[in-house]
Amino acid sequence: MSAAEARLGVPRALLWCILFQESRMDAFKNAFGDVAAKGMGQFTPNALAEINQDTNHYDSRTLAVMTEVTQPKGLPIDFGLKSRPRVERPGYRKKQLPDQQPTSYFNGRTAVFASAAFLNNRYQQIKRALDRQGVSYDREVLWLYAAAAYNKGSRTVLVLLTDYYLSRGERALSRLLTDGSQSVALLTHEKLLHAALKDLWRKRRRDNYLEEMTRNMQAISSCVNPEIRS
Amino acid sequence: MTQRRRRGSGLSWIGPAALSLAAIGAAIWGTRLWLLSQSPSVTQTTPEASAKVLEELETLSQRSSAQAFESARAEQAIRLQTSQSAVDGFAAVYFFPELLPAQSLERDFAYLELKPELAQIRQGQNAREAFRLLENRVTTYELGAAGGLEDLSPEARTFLKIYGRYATGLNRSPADGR
Repeated sequence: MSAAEARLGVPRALLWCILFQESRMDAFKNAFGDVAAKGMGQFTPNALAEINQDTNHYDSRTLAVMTEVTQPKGLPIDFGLKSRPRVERPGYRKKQLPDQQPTSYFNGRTAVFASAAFLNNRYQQIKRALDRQGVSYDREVLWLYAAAAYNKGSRTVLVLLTDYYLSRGERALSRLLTDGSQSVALLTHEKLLHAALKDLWRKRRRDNYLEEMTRNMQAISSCVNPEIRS
Repeated sequence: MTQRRRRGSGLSWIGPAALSLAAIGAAIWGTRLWLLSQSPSVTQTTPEASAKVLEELETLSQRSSAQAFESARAEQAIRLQTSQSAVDGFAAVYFFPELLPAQSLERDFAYLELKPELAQIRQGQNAREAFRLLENRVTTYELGAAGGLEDLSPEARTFLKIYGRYATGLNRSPADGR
């Protein structure tokens, strides 16, 4: 994680907390079975595809980093397993699985770097949108929004911030984005999120999504900085 | 005489005051109208109106080439803009970025992450590859790392359906001559 921080600028504490929240650091989570989200960072095939096919779209450092991590073969990475148990059922003989190829997302090091790259992509996406609008922010605080986007998509975060911008103005948005406590309070406040994101999903899906998002953000923010609690 | 003059001067304020009130009222009304005209139509959102727009776009895409669809889409954007019709802001990201408010943080996504690939699809240059990128970007934009495809929004589904057909050439009519 320190190497991922050095190469891609992703705060290692935040990365650790996200991976812990996603899988409890289990590199083989959902490796066997039909659940789409797999591995340490709970990657879906679409998240893998971003790393494989759109590698440098958000950050020009990503290809070099991922090529080095997946040596000697290089990209693409996949959900391949070196050996599979005879009976495939969730959790079966997980601990006896050998280390995986560097091109497999079930390889611990690859998962850490791919997840770091995906998180960094969300950060760059949000940062670029704010830079273009000339909105100031604190980098550390922005990583919290990137964590929310990792879990629920950049759209959720950008719609939320746009709503804040349109209803309260640029100064208020800048204040929010430079204040960690205020940001955590927003990202974990179900009622405020419901109001801002009321049109993004239909009612039932919104209830589930926001409940999950607030729970995740509560866990991640208090894991990163136990003093910042909503 | 003095009393009469006083009474007269006492009533003389009514005229200017009424005029001032009328002027203030007109100013407030004018400001309200101006604000209404300035507020982006995308905020006037109804799911029904949005669903109708999506349906119209899909029907349109089934009987027109990619270029013709783009022209019709651009015309519809102008119509929506001038008529202040209700259209879901979330459909705007994919189909009518022109209607997004200037402060929308989603504009970057619409213009930098969708537009170039859409142009490639329309021109038939590496259309399948462009669509694959588009599909990934839309999916990760909406769902992050872990979301399931069944959670995509209706507008994202319609968007991918329409441009997926164009990318694979399923929409080519004999009139296209290709």
